[in-house]
Amino acid sequence: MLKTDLDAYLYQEFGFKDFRPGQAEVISAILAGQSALAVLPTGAGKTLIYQMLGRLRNGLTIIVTPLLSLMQDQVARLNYLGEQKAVALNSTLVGRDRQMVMDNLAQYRFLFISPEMLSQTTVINRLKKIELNLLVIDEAHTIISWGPDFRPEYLKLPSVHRMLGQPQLLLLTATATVTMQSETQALFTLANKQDWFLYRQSADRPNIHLHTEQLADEHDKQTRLAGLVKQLQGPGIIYVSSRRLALNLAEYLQTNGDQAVMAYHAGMNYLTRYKIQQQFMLGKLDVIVATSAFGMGIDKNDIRYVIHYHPSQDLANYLQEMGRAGRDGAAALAVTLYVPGDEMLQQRMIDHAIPTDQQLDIIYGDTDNGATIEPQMLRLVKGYQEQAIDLGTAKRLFQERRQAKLQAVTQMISYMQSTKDLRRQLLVEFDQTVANQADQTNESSGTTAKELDQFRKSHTVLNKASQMYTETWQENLRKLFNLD
Amino acid sequence: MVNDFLITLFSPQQPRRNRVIFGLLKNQTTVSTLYWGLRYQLLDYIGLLAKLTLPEFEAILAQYEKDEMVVIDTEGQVLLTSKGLEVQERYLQEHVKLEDPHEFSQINAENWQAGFLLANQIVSERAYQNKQYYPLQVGPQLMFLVRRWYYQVRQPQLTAQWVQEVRDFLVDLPAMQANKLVATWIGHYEAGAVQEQLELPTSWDQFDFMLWQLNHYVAWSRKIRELPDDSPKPIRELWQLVAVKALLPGPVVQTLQAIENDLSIEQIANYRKLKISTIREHLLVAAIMLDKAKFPYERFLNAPIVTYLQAKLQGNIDNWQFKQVRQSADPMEFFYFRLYTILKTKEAVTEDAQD
Repeated sequence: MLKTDLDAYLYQEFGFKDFRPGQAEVISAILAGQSALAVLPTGAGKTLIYQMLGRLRNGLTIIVTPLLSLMQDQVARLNYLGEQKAVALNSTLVGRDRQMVMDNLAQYRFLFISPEMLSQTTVINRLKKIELNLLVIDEAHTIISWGPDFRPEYLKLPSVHRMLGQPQLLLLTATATVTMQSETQALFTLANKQDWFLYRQSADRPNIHLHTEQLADEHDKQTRLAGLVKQLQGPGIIYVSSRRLALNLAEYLQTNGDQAVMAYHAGMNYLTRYKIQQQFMLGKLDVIVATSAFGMGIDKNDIRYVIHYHPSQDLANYLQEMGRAGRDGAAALAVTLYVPGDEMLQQRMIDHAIPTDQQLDIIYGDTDNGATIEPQMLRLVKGYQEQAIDLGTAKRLFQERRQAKLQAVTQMISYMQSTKDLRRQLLVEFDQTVANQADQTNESSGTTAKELDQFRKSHTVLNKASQMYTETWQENLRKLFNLD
Repeated sequence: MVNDFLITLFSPQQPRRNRVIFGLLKNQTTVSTLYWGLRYQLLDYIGLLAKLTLPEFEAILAQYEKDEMVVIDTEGQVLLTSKGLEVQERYLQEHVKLEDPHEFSQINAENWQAGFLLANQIVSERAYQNKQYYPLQVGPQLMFLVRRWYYQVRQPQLTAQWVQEVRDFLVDLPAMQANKLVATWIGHYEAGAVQEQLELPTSWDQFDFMLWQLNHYVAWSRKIRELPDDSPKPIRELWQLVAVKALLPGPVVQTLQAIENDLSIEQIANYRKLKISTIREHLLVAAIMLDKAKFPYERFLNAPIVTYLQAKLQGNIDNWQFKQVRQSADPMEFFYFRLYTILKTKEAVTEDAQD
């Protein structure tokens, strides 16, 4: 399809005049029969790529995605864009709902699916029977950085791809180092000596000002957070490492400020999360305190700041998380707050995730009485056992994994402890050239940095009182149904 | 929390099997689960906690045992201690209860609530002629049903009719309740309030909030059921599509009808190509779920059988065991025994109601 035709189709079907960088290139490559790996920053419009391909060609487009909650958001987003034939298939879908989807796969255009469900024989057998348009693996970097630690099923994706008859592949990620990129490609066997189309956009987000702060202790950090939230122009997201902390911090900010703040985390039921997300998107909430996994579904262009109260697991994830700011292209702010000892949080998570030699001895020896090994770790190791990996190899692999993860955490902490050279540090993993040429001026450090002035509040903020819903039902009905 | 609510399902006098309670809450029922659900008078709670997992359930019970609120024997039978009874009573004072368990058991309450919220969102967006919005994700089947409903009802008067039905329901509620309920609704440029944003008792947890909302939708269901079916009512139509559920599964109804047409169990098994044991199960399910008058007990429990069982089985029905009456390997014997226990349970309930 000619570029001019694509442009016309874009306008006709989606209402956009222009493609964003990378979209047309990737779409064209796939239409020409290649498989593609596209490294596009968050907010660059990855959804449109597979949405357009899904409409241009027959058959089902399968999108493998790691997060169950994200899937629902993705279906909702397609609904928002006018696509009804989209559905999510994951472990939360049970009984008649699941049966209905399984029996009617051919009626859908877009299927969001978890790697666990996609590796089930019943699912694969059904999918083999229908025409497949494209196999999309979203957040493809998780195959490398999550797979070995959390989701053994990601290891099976290459064989699933084969079993499905090697449909065209589209791997999407916002952050992949050059090594990750070639590792990911190497995992898949393409059909008919097909070759890969690689599109790589710089992971840099030039409109986001980078800022680090180092505080003395937790108390200072909390006070500083409250101060920042008071002063900065929102809306904003604050990232923390656990749901308990999300709740505590949200409560703290509610009592120590006058903004509309809510926590947002996995422990909430879907209805609550949906409402908070919608409130945030509609501009009815100023600040969300979230655990990192839950920023992903938020489809909001005007987030003005992202504050990391705790470290991300690595720089790739940090880029992903802070990249939610400023998708409208206007100036935005990414802040990290560091206190000595913060690295322990991530180190503890690594200990929870990656088995030690002793733990591997227990699992392989089957001497576990059920009390000592966490179910998640057990599942992970069993996944390796199923791939016929022996104890010695497993020990080596996990040791290497542990080292790599610890190294990644060190890099993240190093960034948070730095007072200069921030952008270069952030980008050097992904593209050395770009890193070395990166703008050194759009960054700052320290609590007294003047550069933060440009991000101060310029207009009146929502206040807490507006967070309580106190209208009468009659007033509400008038609003809901556009009554006079 | 769900944790605390579970204590209300146990008794200080009647030991209750934990697996039965779990099966009822999750709506994963066998004939045996249903029978014991009948004995525990918990049939109305079927499906109340469909998302509860076994590890979660077991952890809660383990905590109760640790806190000495229950004792659990080797067969998993749970008995409330006096401490547990105090906790239960306190819970019932301070927390939200399911107000109309009977109506709850008559409908698919979760579908009704979620379906209403989605339909309300659709009507709201339509009132602003807006097609670009993030619909509440209610699961593919319900989404399909709500869409189907929408295509059936969408004509110019839809908004007015919808609003009228809504008003008719809300005017009968205390104003504060109505205000808060409507505040939770989703619509055009309205995301709906979460618990923290409503002035609700601070002692309420997530489960209380969920139940408080559910109670309203269940009450609405009862109202709709009792209303005359005259003018076009889109909400009633939605209710009929998503909330109404058959009391008995189709195959059970077929078996019952065949029995009432004087076919024997063997004949039914034969022409339906089912096992005889399956037909017996159908009949037991029907007997458990239906009012006593609606099941033909006398077809199976003739006078000699009743006399025999009556002589052998006395006292607390929970303690009656099949081995007390068994004479041979004929599977019909257990069927008669079980049917008899169901009948006696229903008779006792009727007597209690008459006191």
